[in-house]
Amino acid sequence: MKKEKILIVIIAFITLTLINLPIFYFYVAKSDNLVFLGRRVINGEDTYTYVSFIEQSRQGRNLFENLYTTEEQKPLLLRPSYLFLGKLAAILKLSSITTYHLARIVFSIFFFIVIYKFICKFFNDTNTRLVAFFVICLSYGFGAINWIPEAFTFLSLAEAPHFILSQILMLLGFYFLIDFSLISPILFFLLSFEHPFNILVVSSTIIFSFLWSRKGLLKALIFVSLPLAGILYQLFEIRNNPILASWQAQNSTLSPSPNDYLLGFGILIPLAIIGIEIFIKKNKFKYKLILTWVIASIIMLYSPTNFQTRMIEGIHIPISILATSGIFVIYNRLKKHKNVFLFLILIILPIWSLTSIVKDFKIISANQSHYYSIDKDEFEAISWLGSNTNFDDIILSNKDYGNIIPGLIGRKTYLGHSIQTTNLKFKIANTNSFLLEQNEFTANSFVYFNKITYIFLGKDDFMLKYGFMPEKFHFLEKIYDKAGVLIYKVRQNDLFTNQK
Amino acid sequence: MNKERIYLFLTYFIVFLFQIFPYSDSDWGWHLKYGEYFLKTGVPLRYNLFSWSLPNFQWTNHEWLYDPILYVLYTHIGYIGLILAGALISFLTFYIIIHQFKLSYWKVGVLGFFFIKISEVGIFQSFRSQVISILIFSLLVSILIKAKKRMAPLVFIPPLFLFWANMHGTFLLGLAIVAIFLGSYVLEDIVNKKTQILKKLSIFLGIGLVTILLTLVNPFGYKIYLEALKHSSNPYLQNIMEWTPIISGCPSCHKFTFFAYSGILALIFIKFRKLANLPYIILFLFLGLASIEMKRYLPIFVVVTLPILAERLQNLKINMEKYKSTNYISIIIISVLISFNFFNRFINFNLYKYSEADYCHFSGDCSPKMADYLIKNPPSGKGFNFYDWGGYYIGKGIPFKLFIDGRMHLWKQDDYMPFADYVAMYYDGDNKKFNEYNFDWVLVPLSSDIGQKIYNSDDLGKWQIQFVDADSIFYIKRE
Repeated sequence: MKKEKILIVIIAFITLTLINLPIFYFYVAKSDNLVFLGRRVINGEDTYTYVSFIEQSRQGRNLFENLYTTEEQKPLLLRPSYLFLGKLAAILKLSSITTYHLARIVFSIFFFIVIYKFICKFFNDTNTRLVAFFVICLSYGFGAINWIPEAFTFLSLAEAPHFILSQILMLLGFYFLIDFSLISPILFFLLSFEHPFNILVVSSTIIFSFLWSRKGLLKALIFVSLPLAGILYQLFEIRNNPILASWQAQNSTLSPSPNDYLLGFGILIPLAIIGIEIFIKKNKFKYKLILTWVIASIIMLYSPTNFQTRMIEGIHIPISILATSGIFVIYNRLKKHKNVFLFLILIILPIWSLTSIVKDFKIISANQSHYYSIDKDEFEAISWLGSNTNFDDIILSNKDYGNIIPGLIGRKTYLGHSIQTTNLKFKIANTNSFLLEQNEFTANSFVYFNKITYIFLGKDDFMLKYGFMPEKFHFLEKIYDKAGVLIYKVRQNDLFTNQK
Repeated sequence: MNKERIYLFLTYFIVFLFQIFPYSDSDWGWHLKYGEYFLKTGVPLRYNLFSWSLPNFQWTNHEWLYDPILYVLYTHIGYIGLILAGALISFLTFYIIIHQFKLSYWKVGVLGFFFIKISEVGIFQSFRSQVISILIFSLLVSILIKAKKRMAPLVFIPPLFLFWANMHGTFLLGLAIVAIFLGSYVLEDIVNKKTQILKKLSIFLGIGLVTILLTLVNPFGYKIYLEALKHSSNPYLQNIMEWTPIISGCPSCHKFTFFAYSGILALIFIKFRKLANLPYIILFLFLGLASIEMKRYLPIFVVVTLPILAERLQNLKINMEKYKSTNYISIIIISVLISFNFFNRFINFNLYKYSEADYCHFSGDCSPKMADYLIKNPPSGKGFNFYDWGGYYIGKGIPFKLFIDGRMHLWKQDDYMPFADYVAMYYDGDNKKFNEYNFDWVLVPLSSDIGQKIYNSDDLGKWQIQFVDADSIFYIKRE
């Protein structure tokens, strides 16, 4: 038992190290004049949207706003984990991005503990448990769906803390559900605030596994009613909050074709198919729960919603458990070379996980000075902006800076994210017109009606290259000019006052 | 109804769903106008009413019978009618070729997978004359398979070809397939020293002769043969997508599936060496190589060779029912594939509200707004247009003639071939030829070389933009 736990710790340590290697490396190996932004290749655009929630909480807010859009909005309770992390960051005097990564690491450690406990429910044999743990932590398919990181544990652990937390809650919920404990619906209720999409999979899994095991529909409804109440609250908020509704509508994530998913999970699929046979024969609730989890997730991937790929989160866990079972079916049937087979499988399964790390190193190294890092002077200027503006200020910048400013200083940007910026295309077109506008009144109208109060221009900024000449507009006042970084403040409606 | 039958029905239903594609035939418009002309006058249109480049050309329209069908379907049930007709025909193609074998649902699923993937390049534009011709291939092979045991089904071959010769020029390949199959049957009888070979041979020859004579019963007589043969020797066809090799950037060709399928067939031919496979081996080699060179042969290849794989699967004894997981996995696969179609694939195709704008989106980015503009503001003089859009603007009834459209890739008169000039100007950037034409207007994609060249330089003369939208631009020559 002790040896098993040591091996589990070693696998968890290797996984955690591999996942965090690019982040550690680029924080340490950055050049003196650059600040590493702490984001990676997959879903890099989303990192600072999550950090912006932590930053809002760190600055003392208890309800969140979408800082990537400038329309009037009602603050909401979104992702309570970030509220907690923000408060923690304020107490420990940590930056939001540091808190984000530390939370990821701490949640990952919790995840390893929970996953080990969960595996123990299904496998009595030490070797099987070790292999299952290894497969869950490190296995990956052939890279066909690497743009959906939540599809794999390895990539999920490299993603945002709430992805990891929601998987922990999901696993714990199912863990307690096996014993029909009423702790389970409470955990799923919490999950409904962290990642509401998962509740659709969870509820279907509970209902169908109860029906399949003849446990009664009523019992199942008791378990799903609380998390569904969480979902209803979210739906109510979406209906009453146009910004959230628009965010949701723009967040269309239809699934790729089934071929992509099959290639995405690679050899885990045939191994899991073998495992299914074993699990079906066992005819116990907990095995049916795993089988129903898989079927509910797969069917939900093509449900009539516009957030199909969101349903994939966590599916890697039951597939890996089934695949482990499949591995040992083959292992036990082999008369020769059993260990060679096991060794080869354990070599093949994590290969693509390693390539994702290599990809991070290659791409981030190649783009050191842009997107993954910013100039130290620019970072200083953004920090200065954070100290000299307040929460209601709206900053216009190019989209790259617009993406990080909300996370770095908790201020709203006019454009900054493909999904969270409402009507992004329209706003980009308007900005482009503004940048080339010759007429002072028209230009002033743009900033006035969009409530823009500051304009941020980095070194050799795209907006300047595009043809923007801020000095010719009287309604703009240069308030920061250091090492080529410029910040303009919009004067209080001079033009409009004069017009009147 | 037992479980097997339900699964079988659902498997066929899934194959049907995968045959549904957005209607995107860029030749839609001229087919529509030809169909309208036929239904109004009772005779096929022989003259060129739609382009100025060869005004007196008389075209042998080898697919003339398709045009009134398209016209009736489109005018009564619109694009959705064409989409469903295309899907139904493609599904029937599969069903006819497969249903003669006794296959369980999972075997039908395996065959369906290969059929869906390999035939996609021929059917992804939905209802076209080629799609009907693939159905006829399926009927023909089905008749020829049945004719091996008893000759009665052969009586259906002459009327089938009577229809086919009026529907599409591929009937010529159909005749070759008949010859290969019947020839192989005779050879097999000779090798097996069967009696009454001469009688059989004379029946085959009689049917062949009647069939050939009946193919001449069409509005263009023997010229239909010449038109079909022209397609085998024209070098300019390499500029038309469906005549290019499968390796040339073709996501709907599914190359790996094609090669995997070919590999499986090759293994079957090697492992089960028998004379009965001879017609399939000949067609496998001939059509397989043709498909690599010209992707339009892929659907014919799969239809003609599918019976070999179906026969092997029929003889394969695997009892899937002994596995408890079979049901579970079948339910997952069936549910996923049905919901994938309804809630993902059809949404990506915008099928639930398919409009003319969607047709244009999937059919080379023609523009309904541009069409409206051109109808209200027709240019004068002779102009240049993008080949793929010709059909659409003819169908929209623009009140002026175009330079080129989808009918004209083989048109040649007095050594003048507009399509050859089009290729030189549009693809090869021949400015001199373009300037020699002294066009009065130009209608091309915004991102095309010609569109950009006119915009950025005076190499092609001085022009002014008359109308522009997201994908297309219309220039008029400046005085």
